[in-house]
Amino acid sequence: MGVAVVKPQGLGRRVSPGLLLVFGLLSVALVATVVWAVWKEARAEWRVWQGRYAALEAGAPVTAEDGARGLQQIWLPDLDRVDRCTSCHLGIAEPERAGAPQPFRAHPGRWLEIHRPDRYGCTACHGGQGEATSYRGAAHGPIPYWPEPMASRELMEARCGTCHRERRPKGTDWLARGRALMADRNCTACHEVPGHDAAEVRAPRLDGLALKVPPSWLRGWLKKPNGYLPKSRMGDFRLSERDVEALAAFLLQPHGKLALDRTDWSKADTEKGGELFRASRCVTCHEVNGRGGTLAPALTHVGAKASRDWLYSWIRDPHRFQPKTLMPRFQFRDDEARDLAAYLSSEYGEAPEGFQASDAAPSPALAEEGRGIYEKRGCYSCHELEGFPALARIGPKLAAIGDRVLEPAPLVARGIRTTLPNWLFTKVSGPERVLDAARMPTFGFAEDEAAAVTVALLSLRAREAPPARTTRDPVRVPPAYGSPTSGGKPYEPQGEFGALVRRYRCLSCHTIGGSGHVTATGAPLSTVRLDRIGSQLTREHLERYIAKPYGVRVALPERMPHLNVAPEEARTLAAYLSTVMVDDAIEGTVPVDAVTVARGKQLFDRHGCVGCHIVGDKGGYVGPDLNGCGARLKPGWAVAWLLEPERWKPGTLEPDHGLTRPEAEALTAYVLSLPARKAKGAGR
Amino acid sequence: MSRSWLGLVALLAVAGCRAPSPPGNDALQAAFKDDALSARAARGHRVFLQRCATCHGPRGRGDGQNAYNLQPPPPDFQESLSRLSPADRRRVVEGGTAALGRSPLCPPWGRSLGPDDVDALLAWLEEAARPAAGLPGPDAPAACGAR
Repeated sequence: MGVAVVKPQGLGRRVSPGLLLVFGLLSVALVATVVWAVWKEARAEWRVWQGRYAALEAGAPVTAEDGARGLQQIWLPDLDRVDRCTSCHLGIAEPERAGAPQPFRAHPGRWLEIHRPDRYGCTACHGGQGEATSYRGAAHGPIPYWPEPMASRELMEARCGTCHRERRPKGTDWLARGRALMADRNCTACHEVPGHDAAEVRAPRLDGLALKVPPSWLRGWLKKPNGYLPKSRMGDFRLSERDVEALAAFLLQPHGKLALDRTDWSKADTEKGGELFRASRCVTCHEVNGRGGTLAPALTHVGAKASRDWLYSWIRDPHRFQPKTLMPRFQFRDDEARDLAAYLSSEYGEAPEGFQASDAAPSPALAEEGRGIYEKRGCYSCHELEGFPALARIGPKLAAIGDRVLEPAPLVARGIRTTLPNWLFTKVSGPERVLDAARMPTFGFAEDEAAAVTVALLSLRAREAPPARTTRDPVRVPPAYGSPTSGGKPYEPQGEFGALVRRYRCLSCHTIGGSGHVTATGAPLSTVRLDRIGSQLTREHLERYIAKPYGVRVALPERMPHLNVAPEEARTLAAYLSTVMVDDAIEGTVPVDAVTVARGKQLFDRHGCVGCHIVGDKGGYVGPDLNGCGARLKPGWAVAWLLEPERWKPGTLEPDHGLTRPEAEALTAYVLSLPARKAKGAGR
Repeated sequence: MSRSWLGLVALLAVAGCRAPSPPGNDALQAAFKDDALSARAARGHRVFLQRCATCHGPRGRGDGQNAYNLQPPPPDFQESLSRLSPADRRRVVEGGTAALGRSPLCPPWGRSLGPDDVDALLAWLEEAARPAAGLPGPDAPAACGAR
């Protein structure tokens, strides 16, 4: 090895001038680097801000620039985060800095009270680079290709959703809506979605479709579902004419063993059917001509879709055709079901525009091709069909979609901004906009709906928050129904009561123990939870109301349908609700003497209750009519309700007046003593 | 061969260093805009639709479905709101009209609404009270406020 050994030389020995020059320059460079480094550290952005903050605190003019506090850092090992944001954001947890200039301004709202910075840091919610100590380095604002830029205000709720895994996280708006929309559109049928394991796929079975629909309707529907139902839950699969023909041929083949009930149509009375349609409050769930509920399909053109015989058979027993339907089995006589079916098919028999396709049966030769399309497009994921196997989910897993790395070139070519949120938004709005051969259907989301779904998708991150940091929906089982350890299964009512609940589909609108259908808005249709209804309402009222419901809150468009529950069934239901669905904490009585009642009347007037409630002939239409409400309400419940309305029904229009218990009792005593109206009666 | 390699490397380097301003439109940003409302005012408007619109009407014109049952009737905010100072607006929202010694028909919401909702509601009213601005925000869905 040729290691050069430098022999000790005399000082007098001359060094070559070139070497000296290099050495000298290097020394200067070293000194300059050290000086520059010290100067740069002294002039660091965060020190400048700390100096200005010190000046702000002292009330001095903003000139001082000494970083007296030193670098601030929050270390959160379980979140794997080191946040230095508070080095500059010095007033973030100081409420008196609410009006200070940035970066010193206090955090808006009350968020830090429940998310203390020392426990949650900053970037867990906001994103950005916590270790950075400069404005740009922290990734404020959108920076292309940066792995975790700061979340914009619009997308903040997606960050909430990473830890808050409930269906409707409190205080969120877009996120809750997005999650509800994802459940409503059956995303989980094709995609594995974390947090949606329990979401039930809702779509009709397709057995016996040939008994129900004519080929013309099926062609129109397959071509453009929202041409028939403007709010169709099924997306548009963008099928070619041939695909439509083939799929129709396959679906119209006989599947299953269903048969229709027959009736004598010559005796049908459409006028009676119309009366029954209105009296039964079908519009609570079904829309007709643009008005009505959204829980069930619109009926505006139902006569063009479903045959008269099928409608008759369906109304008599929907559960025979669709075991999972939300629709109750109304207690109609056969002639009533016939009149109703006749009314629907004549009054709403016109085909929607664009549905004038031929009624010729599709060629059976195409059926096998149609079966292939049924499989390829994943129709089986939502629709069960006798004889067709349940195959694997067709779409990719959505876990970690919020951290997906995009390939920009194809998006750039299409003029789509290559940020992940914008890609998701565009794909959700119309999958064909990002990929011509996309298999996913176009759901026809409005812009704000697509934005909400985007927020919900962005909350699904590659790295899940540690379990101790996450919140989830509790699996609630009412204590009266068994131990809380019933395996986390949704509540399923049992026995005679259970049979009636299933027949009349009570849980399509109401909830018990958190179980029950939730609409696309994320809430159940009815605001009345049944968990403690037996302690809220008298047994006599329950029995009367179930047998013949009426509008308690007259301004409410959603009213309980007239199910024609038989008297003995109503008695059974009322008895069960009154004895089992109770809450001892709200049972109780109030003193009913003349003094208390008079005091209650004073309070009633002082708080302007008449603005919303009818008493006598006067009052508003917002809350329930109070005439004769003593026959309806239990006193303990009325007191509990008046004391804490927001606790029992978040978002209620009953204001919390801050009453004391004696005040609430006096008000209850007065209200429950109000006589029933004689002329018209309390209900209809 | 080597030329083209060099060219590719140069291209990649340019693409990597200069963050290109991404082409195309960001449709998502547009979707979040609620007319011309700020995010906070939009939240305030939703609170308004839920709690207030039954009487005050979706845009605060005093034309809610329950308005005709009230004596005195709810005012048209386009005329009346500018007469209240911001502090008085907060007092009415939190303590009802009774807090100003008027009729008790407008109830107090201070205990029902969280402080953030009250702030948001006031922010919307603030935008609503600007002269000639009109009352911003989309109309309520049909069933809004009826629960």
